[in-house]
Amino acid sequence: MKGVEVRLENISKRYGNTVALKDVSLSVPRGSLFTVLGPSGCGKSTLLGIVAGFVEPDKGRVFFEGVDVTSLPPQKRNVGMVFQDLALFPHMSVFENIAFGLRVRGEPEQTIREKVKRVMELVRLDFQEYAGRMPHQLSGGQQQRVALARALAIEPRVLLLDEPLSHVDYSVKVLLLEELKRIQREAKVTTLYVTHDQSEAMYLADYLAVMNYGTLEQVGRPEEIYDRPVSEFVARFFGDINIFPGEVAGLEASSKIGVRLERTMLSKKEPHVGNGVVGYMRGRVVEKIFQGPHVLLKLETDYGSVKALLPRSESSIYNVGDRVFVLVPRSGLIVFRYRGSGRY
Amino acid sequence: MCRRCSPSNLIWHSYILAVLVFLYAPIAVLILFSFNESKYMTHFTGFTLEWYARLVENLRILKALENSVSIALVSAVVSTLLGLLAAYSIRKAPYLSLKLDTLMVPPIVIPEVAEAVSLMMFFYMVGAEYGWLTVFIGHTAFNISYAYVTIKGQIHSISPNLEKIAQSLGAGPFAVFRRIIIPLLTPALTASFLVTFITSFSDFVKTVFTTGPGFETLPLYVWRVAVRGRATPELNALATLMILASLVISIYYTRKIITRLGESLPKQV
Amino acid sequence: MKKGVRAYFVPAVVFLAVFFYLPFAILLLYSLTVPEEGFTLANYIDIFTSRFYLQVMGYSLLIAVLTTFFTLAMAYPVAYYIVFKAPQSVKPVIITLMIAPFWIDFLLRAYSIKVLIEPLGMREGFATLVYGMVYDFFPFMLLPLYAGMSSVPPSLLLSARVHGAGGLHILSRVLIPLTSSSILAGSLLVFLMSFTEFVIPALLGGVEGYTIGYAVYDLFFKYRDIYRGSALSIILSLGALLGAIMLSRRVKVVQKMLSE
Repeated sequence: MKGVEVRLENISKRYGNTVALKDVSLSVPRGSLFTVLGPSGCGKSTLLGIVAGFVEPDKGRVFFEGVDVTSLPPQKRNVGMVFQDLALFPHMSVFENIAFGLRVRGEPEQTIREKVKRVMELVRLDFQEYAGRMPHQLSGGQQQRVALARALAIEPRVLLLDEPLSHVDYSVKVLLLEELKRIQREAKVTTLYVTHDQSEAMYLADYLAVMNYGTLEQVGRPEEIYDRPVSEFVARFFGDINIFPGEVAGLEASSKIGVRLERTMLSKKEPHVGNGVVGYMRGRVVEKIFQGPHVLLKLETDYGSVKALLPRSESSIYNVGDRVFVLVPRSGLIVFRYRGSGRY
Repeated sequence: MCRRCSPSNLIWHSYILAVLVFLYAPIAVLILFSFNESKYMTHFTGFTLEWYARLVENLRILKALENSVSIALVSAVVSTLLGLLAAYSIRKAPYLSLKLDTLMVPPIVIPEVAEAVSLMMFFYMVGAEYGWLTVFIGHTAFNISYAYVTIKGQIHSISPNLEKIAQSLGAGPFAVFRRIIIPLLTPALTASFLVTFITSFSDFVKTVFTTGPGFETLPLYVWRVAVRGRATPELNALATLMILASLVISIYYTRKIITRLGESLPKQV
Repeated sequence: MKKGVRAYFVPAVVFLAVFFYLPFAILLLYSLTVPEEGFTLANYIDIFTSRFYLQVMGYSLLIAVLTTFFTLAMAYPVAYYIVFKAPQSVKPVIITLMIAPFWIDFLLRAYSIKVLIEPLGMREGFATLVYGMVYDFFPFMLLPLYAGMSSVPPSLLLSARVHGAGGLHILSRVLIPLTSSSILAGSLLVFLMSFTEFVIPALLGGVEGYTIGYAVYDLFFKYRDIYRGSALSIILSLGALLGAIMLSRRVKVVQKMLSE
């Protein structure tokens, strides 16, 4: 199985008066796992539909490995898909579900059997035990594996995953994310993974795009986006963050600054500005939440609510009701300049 | 404690029993008299199969049976097929749903007698020869609507993602239709076929207005014999056979469709 | 329009256009015609001012109302029993038995009542006629009620009971509102069918079996008055259509109320 490079050029799509995608360009390197992250209704599923061929863009082109596939119907694109509802064929056994794509291609029975066996091995479903079962006789996790196996069986050029894990319990989700990453690496298939869950995105992605209102706000590696978000929206959507008016750090009032929770520092003594600290504010601890290795402190300050994530060992000196100073360190400072049109 | 023999349950069970007696007593009596030696239906005088033997020799009845079955069969196939296609078009173009409903539903609502006379006049004006074809058309004009409504109801429950997945796996429109849509519609298609068949098979009003001289279906025969004379044992024998056939269909239908309806609905809530 | 969609619905629509809508247009045309007078509403005026037709209509209405009432009163508890009361083991059997008559030829069922007349010492007439109608239309009432009742979540009834609601209270405040759209659907179906029904009345009603459906039949076959026959058919059709439209509005309103 070999993935292809997927490239989108200036894609636009409207539904009536609603703009689903506005001039979106994107390049997904061969064999990589690319995650599109955004709130519901941001256009990410439309984007997937356009790559799969279900949705015809109003403008723009889609390329697989440099070849224009914009007008190719879905059945000729050789794209594997998994939807949120999985859409297993309820009237077919696990074997027939996985074999479906091979059957419509008219492959010989022997080949079909071998390929189904191989792909079931890949997703770690025991052939003997599960091949004959019907979808409704499987657990949620097993159904996920079947859906994935069915998409992979046709040796797709691109794998498209549309929020496949959003209905799964947290504990199962962690396991499946791990599996998904392994399977994707082993199959070396270019994968586009759409989700609204930043933890999934962070865990999986080689590359990441944050989407809002039909545009890509930012594209990059997960660490880049986490450390240097270009907008308040991206910063909030991809991890939690404290946002203050710019004056705290001595910037013009029309800009804002952000500090990630784990970079937000506390002190009982009044700190000096300089020395790595660009500003501070007074506050009071209002809540202390135990989160395993970390403790989350919620504080009320002159500039509104602030959250700080401290290692357990450092948190013990702060108690609910304590008056503290909240420090803004230079190293964790993220500056958002006003971009006009009301957005940062 | 015995839940089943509490007073309220006793009332329930006797009520259900009473309804069953209401439904089956006339049929039982009819079946009984089909084996009655005497021609008169006041007393049961002795057991005989004579009326059944006469039935098999009655060419008029056999011909009527042949007409009824052939019309019902073709009408059920044609209307289920056309209804299926029409219902499927809504899946491809959901915005058509309301418009198509407006066109397809009236034949179910309009009184049969009005439909029947309008067809009779229409056939008269175009100079059609009344007979098999006119009766078939009359039955089918109703059956298409019925098939459409039945199939449309179920086609909604098939997730569009199933079609998309099938397409992404390489299935063209025909393969999607044959391998996904048709198998998943089996209950609705079965229901549509059986109901349109029985509707056509037992139709009287449409038939009476659209038939021609010499062309008879079973309900027409039953009507002519039952209304003119009184009930006859020969007719009872025919009725008994038809009832048995109906019961077989009914058991099949209930197993396949009705119990599924009852089981599947509450779970979704 | 997406390409290829047209091919799917065109056969059905064309069939109905030619064999349903066109004949109806002809019927409408005739209903507005009097020979040698041209277009006129005279046929309609004749019917609505004729004591005879108004009486027959009233009589048919009475029969339809009684039939609807009795089938509903009989079938509602049955539907309730099947869905909520019947022991799981006998449930399929009861369903099968209750629905089976639906599959038996309509005319044969009426005929089976006729067979009963002699041994039971009944006579043809109004009571026998209504009895036959109720007998014949029962399955048409039961099926929608059963479907509607099946979609009532049992947890709702249970919670009403837990909150201390009595049997009558649950019936009037929970069950009937929740099943109201199927009650309406079943009632309309039975009402419309029984209003224009003339086979059963003719078979079982004797001299009291003359209904509006029979009047249409007579106008065409006995009096050969296709103009008035057409007008009467149109009146019945419009009435049915109106009833159905009102019902679908009502059903939508009820569904909306429930979803809020």
